[in-house]
Amino acid sequence: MPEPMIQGVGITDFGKFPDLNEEALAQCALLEALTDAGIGMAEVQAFYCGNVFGQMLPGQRALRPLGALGGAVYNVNNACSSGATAFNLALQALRVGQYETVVAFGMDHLSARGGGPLALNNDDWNNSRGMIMPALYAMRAQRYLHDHDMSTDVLANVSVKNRTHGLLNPIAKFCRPATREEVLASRMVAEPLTLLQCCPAVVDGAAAVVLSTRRTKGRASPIRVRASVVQSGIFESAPVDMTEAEITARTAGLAYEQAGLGPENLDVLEIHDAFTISELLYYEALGLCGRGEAADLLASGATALGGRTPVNPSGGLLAKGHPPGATGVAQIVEICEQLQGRAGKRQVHGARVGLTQVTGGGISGVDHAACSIHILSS
Amino acid sequence: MIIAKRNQSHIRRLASGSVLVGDSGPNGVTFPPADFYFDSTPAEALIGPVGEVYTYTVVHGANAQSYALAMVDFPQQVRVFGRVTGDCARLRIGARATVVAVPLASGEDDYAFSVEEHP
Repeated sequence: MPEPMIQGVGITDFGKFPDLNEEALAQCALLEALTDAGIGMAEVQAFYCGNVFGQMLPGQRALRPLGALGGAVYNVNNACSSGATAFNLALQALRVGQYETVVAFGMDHLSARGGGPLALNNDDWNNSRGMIMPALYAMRAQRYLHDHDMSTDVLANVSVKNRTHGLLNPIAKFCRPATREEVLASRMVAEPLTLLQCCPAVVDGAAAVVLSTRRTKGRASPIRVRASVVQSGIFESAPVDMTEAEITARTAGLAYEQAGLGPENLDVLEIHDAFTISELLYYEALGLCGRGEAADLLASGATALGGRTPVNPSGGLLAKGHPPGATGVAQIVEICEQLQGRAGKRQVHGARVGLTQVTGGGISGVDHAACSIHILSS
Repeated sequence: MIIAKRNQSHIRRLASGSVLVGDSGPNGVTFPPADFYFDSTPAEALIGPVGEVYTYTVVHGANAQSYALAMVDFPQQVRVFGRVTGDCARLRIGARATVVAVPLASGEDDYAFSVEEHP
């Protein structure tokens, strides 16, 4: 059976668009992906839609005016991992021969929600007692700084790096530059995380990719999917190391095995930097460095554009924002553009292998409820 | 299969102080206790009254009052999340945290942690 490959990608601007809705954003990304792949809507046999805040039937609502011919629409809500999980399911369907050409897409329109941290399940034990996502990551940060005797400067440095990257990304409409001092002086959200260490709370966006076992006449060379792994969190009641990012390490191990590659083979990564501390924890969980070495890795410049293994050249969630249904697919779009040499001013020169990582959380006892990792190559 | 809803409080006031009431099963002590039980009811496990702060934060809402949260490790090998009540000047990693009962409007008790010095 021919190998399924990414034949086209599409992405909207990520910013605050109160006059649009998530359907319009998704339609824009979908049409762009189809054009990029050189195919029409009639050739798509199924759609996989990642969405978190759009209520019932988000995929069908987005596709309604686009002339879809009634093939299956699979709606996926796996918190911030929704889009990447949708992509995983789309790929599985192609690999078993169920379909020949499908589209995975994701979108969310956070402007419609107002603002503030992402809404969690209020019936949850922890959430009903004041837990919010910034607080969970703040507690990880507090412990990480304590264990490794570090100052908050190291957290701020992540924000500075990713904002510097984001300024090179034309879709990152919300991105503003900031110095370390400005990051640390911004409003405290959850100690020790300040506002500029949290991804923007009100950002809208959508992204789409065309997957096919056929070779289409697209604008760019197709991209191979070397690994696609989704895992879920393990219930923890006993004391564990909250700085370990166990689910990401476990998912990465499976992904590296599936791809026959290791962290030393990666040229570029897009990872889930919803908060500054996240990026540091994931450096370690993904094997880019050892435990406690993330600050040194960051300080070396290895993870900045021009470094050995740039991380979040798009600006990541800190610079672009985080419409959760879209994020996983947007990361895949960014890595495809990097591997195809069409990432513009943020291009990682010579990139041949890239990795995306996104988690999803918000329920007690399973702080990271989902994790999706994809390894792509040219 | 019988489904039974748990109807016991998750906190108990003892003469020696307040303790949390979790489940004791084959995987050790767990908290919070399960909401529902199937066929059999696990033994209860009393947790506390004193533990140690594993990590913490203070949340500062843009238009809301600040509040403190902590993860507290107890000798029963269980970690519990909760609010920290009262004076938080002593709130730090490794601090001694005591379970305290917090009366709710419903008349039931919830729990929080105190890091104040107790005699």
